This record gives sequence, C-alpha cells and structure tokens, in this order.
Amino acid sequence: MPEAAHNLATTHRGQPSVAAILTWLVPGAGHLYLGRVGYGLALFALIEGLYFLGLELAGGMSFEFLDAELRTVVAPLLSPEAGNLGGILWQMKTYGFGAGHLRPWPEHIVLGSALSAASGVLNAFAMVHAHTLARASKPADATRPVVSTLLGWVCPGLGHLHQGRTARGAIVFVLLVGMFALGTFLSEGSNLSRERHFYYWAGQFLLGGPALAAEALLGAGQVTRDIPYVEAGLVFGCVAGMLNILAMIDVYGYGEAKLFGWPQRSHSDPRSDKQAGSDDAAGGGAADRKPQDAGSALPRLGEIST
Amino acid sequence: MKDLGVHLALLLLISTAIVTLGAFYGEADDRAARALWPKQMAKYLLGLALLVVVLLACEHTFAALE
Repeated sequence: MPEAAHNLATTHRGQPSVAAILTWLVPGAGHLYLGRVGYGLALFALIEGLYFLGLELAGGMSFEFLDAELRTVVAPLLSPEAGNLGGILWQMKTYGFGAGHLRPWPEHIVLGSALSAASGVLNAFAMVHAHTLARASKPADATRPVVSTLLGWVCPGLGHLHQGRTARGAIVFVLLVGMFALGTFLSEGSNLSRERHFYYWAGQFLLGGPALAAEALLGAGQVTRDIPYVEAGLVFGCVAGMLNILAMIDVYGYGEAKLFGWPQRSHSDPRSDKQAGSDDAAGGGAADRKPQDAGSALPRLGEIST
Repeated sequence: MKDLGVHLALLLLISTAIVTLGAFYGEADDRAARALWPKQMAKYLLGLALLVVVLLACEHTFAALE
C-alpha cells in the first residue's frame, strides 16, 4: 500500500485540537492523552526542565527587563515563553514583574531568559507534533514534518534542505540570516539584548540558532553613543525572525501534505482553492480534518505531486 | 530627506524578503513561486506607494497646521 494511502487510515487516538491545547497547558499532556506515555513524560521533563532551569538562572526576573509603563498583561503573551502557557502562568503568578524596586540582575540572567524562551518555542513544536500524531495512522510518521520544521528554527532554510528543497532552503537562509546580519550591523549589536529591546528581541528570537549564537557571541556590547540606524536594524532583526514563521509554516505544510497525501499548497491552482473553500465551509481547515473525513475530498493518489 | 537613498535601499531589501517569503508561503512549487514573484512585488510596492501618498496627504492636511 502506498505510504500516503496508509496514512489516511482511520485513527482513534484522540482529537487533534484537544491534544494541542493540552500540550500548550502542560508540555507532554497532549501526548499522554494520545496514549504516548513515554513521549509525553520525556517532553514534559525536557520542556519544563528547560523552563524552570531558565527561571532559576534568571531568578524569575526576565519580565523586569520591561520599563514600568510596558508591564501589562500583554507582555507575557508577546514573549516566546507564551508557547508554554502553564509555565508562563506559573511564572507570572510567582514572580510577576518583580518586587517593584531596582535590584541587581543575577549573573546568568541572559542565559536563563533565553532558556525559558526556548522552552516556549519548543513547546509550540510539541503542540504541532501532538496535533499531527492524533491524525497520523503510523505514529513514527508524525515526527518527520515536525523535525523538518524544528530544523527551520535551528537554522532558517535547514528544514527545506531536510525535505530536499535545496534551492528554496538556500534562498530562505540567505534572505533571513542576511537580514538579521544587516540588522545587527545597522544597530551595532544593540539588538542582541532582551533587556534593551524586549519586544524586538522576542520577534528576533524566532530566527532561532543564528539569533541565539549572535547573542551569545556579541550580546554583551555596551552602547555608549547614538546609533544612527538603530531603528532600521531592530526592524530588520525582528522582521527576519517573524518571516521565519512563514518559512516554518511552509516547511510544515509541505511535510504534512506529503504525510497525508494532500495536494501541495498553491494559490494559482483553482482546484486547490476550490477544495480549501469547501473545507472551510464544512467548518474546519485542512489541519482539523480527520483522515477518514478527508478521504472524499482527496485527489486520487496518482494526482498527488510530491 | 537626509539619507533618502539609504532608506529606499533598506526598504527595497526588506520588501524583497517579505515578498519572497510570501510567495514561498503561497506556493509549494518553486517554479510557480518564481512566476508569482514579480506580480506580488509590483503589488507590494504599489501598495507602499499608495500608503506614502496617503501619509503625505495626511501630514500636509493635519500635521502642517500652524
């Protein structure tokens, strides 16, 4: 039986959306719900371990980077830690925005802050994995598109490369890492500090490996004068990170379509537009379709372009 | 108007990245994405030009009042 057809088999593991939401609340909970106990416990240990190690190193002071007027309920939601909802709620309840007076930063606050943020991003990938796992008939198959997407965060373009789309991966790498490098040059490295630019840093963090590496190597610089193009530099770094979300969605969409034997995304193909429209009208996008429901809307296997 | 050329060059650079990633997001096939790119870029730049006109008109009408 062809692989795509095999993945359309009915599964009874659980609701994809429920699995994803449970994972958002508690890392690994979605996998436990889907009966993958080992996976669930391992994810819980890794993601929560990272979060609380970060919290410990930063002394729970990451949100004290914010100026007083920026300390609102929106702040945690706009941080990468929001990917781990249970973690961020616990942090805000326990530490909030601090004691209300200035105090010295812990020695490893930069590392701690980055680890908690990385935990949020990794939990977003765990959510995607839980959602995919609930729909795939072979659990092992659910991992591949998520690993490709994760590689896209480790280094922009690497996910495309993992899928054999070398040219696209190279273009994504050159554009996004080039934009980030130019942004860092224009802002003379001042973008590499969460303390200095809390929200821009959050966007930039989505660029993954290059942003983390640059911050580790060059993030300790002092700003001693006006930087003429600092705003442009911050925008370039932040936009590069946010555009990497588009690149990662592209990677995941491609892998998901291959996994379930769906046609690849195309705005110029009226067939796929029509199909997407009918899916929406039925009350759910492609991501929420159960395999057995998707069967009637799918093209014959010979029509699938991979 | 100081450094206008630099700002325009930076705008073109960031526009190129935004439109390219947008085309990749919309089209899984590289050739289709490449075919889509010039039209998307023209639309994006036209939209930006329109925005500039609106902003300048607003500035002239409201912000320039004595």
